[in-house]
Amino acid sequence: MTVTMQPVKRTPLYRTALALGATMTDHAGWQVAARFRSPDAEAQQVQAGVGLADASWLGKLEVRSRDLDPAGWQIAGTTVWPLTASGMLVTCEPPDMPAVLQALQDRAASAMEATNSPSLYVTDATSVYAALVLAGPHSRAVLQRLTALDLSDNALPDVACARTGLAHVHATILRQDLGPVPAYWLLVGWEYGAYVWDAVIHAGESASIVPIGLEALQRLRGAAR
Amino acid sequence: MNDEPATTIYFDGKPTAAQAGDTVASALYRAGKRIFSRSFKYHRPRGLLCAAGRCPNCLVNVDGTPNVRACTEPVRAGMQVRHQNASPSLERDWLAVAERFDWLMPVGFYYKTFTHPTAWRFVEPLIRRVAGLGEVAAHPPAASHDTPGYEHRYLHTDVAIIGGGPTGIAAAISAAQQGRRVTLVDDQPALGGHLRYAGRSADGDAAAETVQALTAQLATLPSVQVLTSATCLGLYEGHLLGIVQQDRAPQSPVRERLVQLRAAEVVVATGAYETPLVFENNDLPGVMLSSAVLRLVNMHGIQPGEQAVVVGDGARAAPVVACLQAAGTRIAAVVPTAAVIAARGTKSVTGINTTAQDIPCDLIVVCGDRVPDAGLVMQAGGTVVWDEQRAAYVVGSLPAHVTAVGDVTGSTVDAPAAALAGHAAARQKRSFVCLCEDVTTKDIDAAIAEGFDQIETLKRYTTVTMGPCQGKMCQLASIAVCAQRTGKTIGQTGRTTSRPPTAPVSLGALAGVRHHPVKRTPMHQKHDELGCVWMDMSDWQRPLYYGAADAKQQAVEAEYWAVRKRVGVIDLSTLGKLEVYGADAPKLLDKVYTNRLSDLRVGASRYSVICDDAGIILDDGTISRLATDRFFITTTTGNIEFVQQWLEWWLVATDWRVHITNVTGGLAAVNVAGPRARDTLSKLAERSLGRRAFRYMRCRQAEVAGVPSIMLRIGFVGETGWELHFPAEYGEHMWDAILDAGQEFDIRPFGVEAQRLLRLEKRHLIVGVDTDATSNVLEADMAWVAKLDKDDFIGKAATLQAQQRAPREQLVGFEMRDAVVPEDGAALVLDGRPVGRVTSARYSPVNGKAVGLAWVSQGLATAGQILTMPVRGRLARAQIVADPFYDPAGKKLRA
Repeated sequence: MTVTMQPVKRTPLYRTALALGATMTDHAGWQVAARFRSPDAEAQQVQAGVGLADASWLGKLEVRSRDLDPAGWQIAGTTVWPLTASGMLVTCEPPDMPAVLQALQDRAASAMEATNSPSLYVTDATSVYAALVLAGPHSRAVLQRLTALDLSDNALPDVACARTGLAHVHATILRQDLGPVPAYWLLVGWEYGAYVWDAVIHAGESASIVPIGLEALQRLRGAAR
Repeated sequence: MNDEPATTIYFDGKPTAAQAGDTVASALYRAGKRIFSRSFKYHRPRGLLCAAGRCPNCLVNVDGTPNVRACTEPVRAGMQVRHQNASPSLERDWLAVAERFDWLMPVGFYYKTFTHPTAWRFVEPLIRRVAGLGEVAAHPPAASHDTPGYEHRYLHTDVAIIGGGPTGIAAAISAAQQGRRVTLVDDQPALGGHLRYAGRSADGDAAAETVQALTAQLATLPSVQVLTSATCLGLYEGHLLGIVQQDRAPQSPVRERLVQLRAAEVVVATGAYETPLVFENNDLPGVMLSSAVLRLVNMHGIQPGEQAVVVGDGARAAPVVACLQAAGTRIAAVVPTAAVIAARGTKSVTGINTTAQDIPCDLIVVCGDRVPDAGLVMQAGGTVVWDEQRAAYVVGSLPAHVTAVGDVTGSTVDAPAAALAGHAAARQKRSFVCLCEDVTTKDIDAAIAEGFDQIETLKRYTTVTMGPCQGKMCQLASIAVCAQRTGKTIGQTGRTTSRPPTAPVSLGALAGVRHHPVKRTPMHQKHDELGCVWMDMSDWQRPLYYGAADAKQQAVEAEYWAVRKRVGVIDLSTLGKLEVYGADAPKLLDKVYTNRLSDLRVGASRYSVICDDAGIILDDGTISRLATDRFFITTTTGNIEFVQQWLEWWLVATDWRVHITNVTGGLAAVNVAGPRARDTLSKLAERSLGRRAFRYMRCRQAEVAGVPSIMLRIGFVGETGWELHFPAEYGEHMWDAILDAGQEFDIRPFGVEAQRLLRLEKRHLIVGVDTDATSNVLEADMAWVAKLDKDDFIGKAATLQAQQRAPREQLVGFEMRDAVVPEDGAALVLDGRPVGRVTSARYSPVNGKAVGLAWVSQGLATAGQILTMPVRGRLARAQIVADPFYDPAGKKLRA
């Protein structure tokens, strides 16, 4: 006897968003905050100040191999983040996950044919890392309260990444601006998601940080493209 | 000086008018206050000395914060300032009687007097009462997001310049013009250094103009960041500067900020500061450094006294004489340094004795030695050496990427030879070398006579330079006195080591914001809604049991019986989880784990422990083979980071192809266990869970409740059960689905306490609870888990050795003969001697008596042996048993 059901995906910020009065929506199977106020107001606040969004739904794939050359890894619809000499992170939109996973696995298979032994491994790390998007002109000042990483444009330009400590936990910081708006995608352990959200909000209080929902975030991302 | 409207502050409850721009000290001084503190040991009255935040004389309590330097603390309306270390008041302090008993407290008296433990017990509270600085409130107001607090900030720069005087500003402008990012740090509220208080004489106007021009130019350079009210505490490896910045903005949520500034290059432009002279009663209120007088007059518009005697030589005295005259103070005399004998007065200065005459006055202005503020130079690894020819300290060498500019180099500092001779001449017992710790020239003489004649030992024995001023006021004087008494030069005497912090720093600033990382499982909210009692397990929060805080036993027993008779579910998301993959993964696992894992079939699971080289058990868990080259490993909750590092560490020197991914947070996990577990999960699983289709110690990847899961048929609690590991985003969905499916079997969630009881009945040990830092597998009764016929594994040699010698002690199971439950950790005794200890003990509902695990001495570890242990004050009896307390054959587990 099997019960069929449609499983719902929740991020570690699901309850945080509900507590903040978010209007929830479905995003490729994920229950996420659509908005906390009006998306226009939220987008404006990010453009003028700083905002924080939950993007834990972001597709994340870890690719491991002996020697990786990220340059040879352009797959449509993805961003490739070289983390170490033998590991990189591939991020994509949730609907693209199956296709990207397939493309990466094809790569792994052909790598195996070439070397006659499995040498490349792909792990779906989507729920290993919660992702928070800290965006806005004041985002760097807020982040400087939580991490010793050099966040200057020279050290961490757009589409650069770094592994560091953040509010006493391990984090991977991806810089991916929303057009002219600087934005840091903070990847922390799924289990720390709610804690890091609180820590960033606290650090951003003096900068009047606001939570923003998916609609405002997608609007800003859309404007960036 | 400032024309803004006056405000009111309170000193010991008494209202005091203050002007905007005032510091606490300047406001109080203007209002007539002369005694600002009482000294550390003798409770002598102390007044303003440096007025620059360097000496210990004006420490007060401000709005509950102790040890605030009044001379650098800006006034705020309504601030409550209280005195410290005096009773009942600064003016009348009964503890000043301590000075009468100074013969009881010679230098080093701690080491000599209270050597007997009994004596120390009585004396310690008294010393704590009399000595010390300030008091921290026993119950500080709870910090919230609304109360002013502390924060950390991390900054990076190309050039860090410490010191915002004219030289520092010029260095900043020059570096910025070369296109570099510059951070300029100064401990005062505004830039300008000594030019800020240089006054309004013809020279003074020039100084003010210079500052204005420099700061205006600085403001045009966008790559310069200026931090004011920011004291550099230390220079650490990699050009990391620790800086504490006061934030005095009225609406600021932050009181103090610890800035960690990482710089490619450091420029030390800290300048020089003035230090006191040593003569009798040189600590009396009314004896003030010339720079302090300039500050009071030129920055705050205060007339510091009616009649002043200026102690100083030649050109050094001229500016302060002019300044005092302009302020309306009569100059009674200008006395050469060498001529001073003593200050006169009891609570403040009433006159001065010199070799020529006695002069009445209420202010003695001391033109002291100027000492390069070179602590950071030394912390950077540079040297400061004594230039015999010029009789001055100068910077000797500097490491790469650190430079020193301006007065700190010593190149511009006046030769202080005359003053040094003055220090050395003073021999009276009230001639203070160190104001922080009340160390006099007599004390230094006594210490040297006792053999502490090297500057570093002299420092430790007398505590000179070890107080709040961190040697700023006393280092040069103590060196000069030591040199003179031992017949050496100052260069031969040397200097004590400069260490961070260069200035006092509050623990709050060092600690920063209260970020306490908390790990939550994906089902956290579900447990909360079910009314669980939480427990902390490393950073995780786990349900201890579900029920009211005062009904633990009933709740735990109900959960227990649900698992034993029906079905229960527990959140195991906190288990450490690793994916280990690669062609050589079996090789690595065989090396690191004691059990054999290379022959594990795909679809099978095995238990093992990890040992260190000494054969000590470090961790345990299950290893499941998902594919030929892919393993799924669980570790204990608190040990995941360690196990991951341990595996990676043993991989480093090999060329094995293995990748390890920590998937702990990415996977939620539950254990569904009990006689109806199969019925419950069969409603959700896509494939048969029949006892032949899915055997004990097998694993499978399959969908459960529509969620792709790793299913492990294992049983920590001793019943038919499955551990499910599945993507964390489905945590709430899976929890709900299992509770729904199990509803007809009266399923119950259970917590850590019931789990611990259930596993104890099966004698499944918990690493770190039932084992400790000396437990090996043989003594822990787990010899089967170490495959000694493997080629090698970490700890094999030690285990083989342990096999050769008789075990020292043995982990055994016991059941109580008396109707009591011993506490975890209870001692086992035999004929009054300790023979072991209980590690876990619980009342076992199925047995109707308490059972437990204990370490016992080898000779006693036989079944049937009676053990005794104190339980609530009485000796209780227990008997060693060989088998598990529940289902010894494991039939239920495999059912």
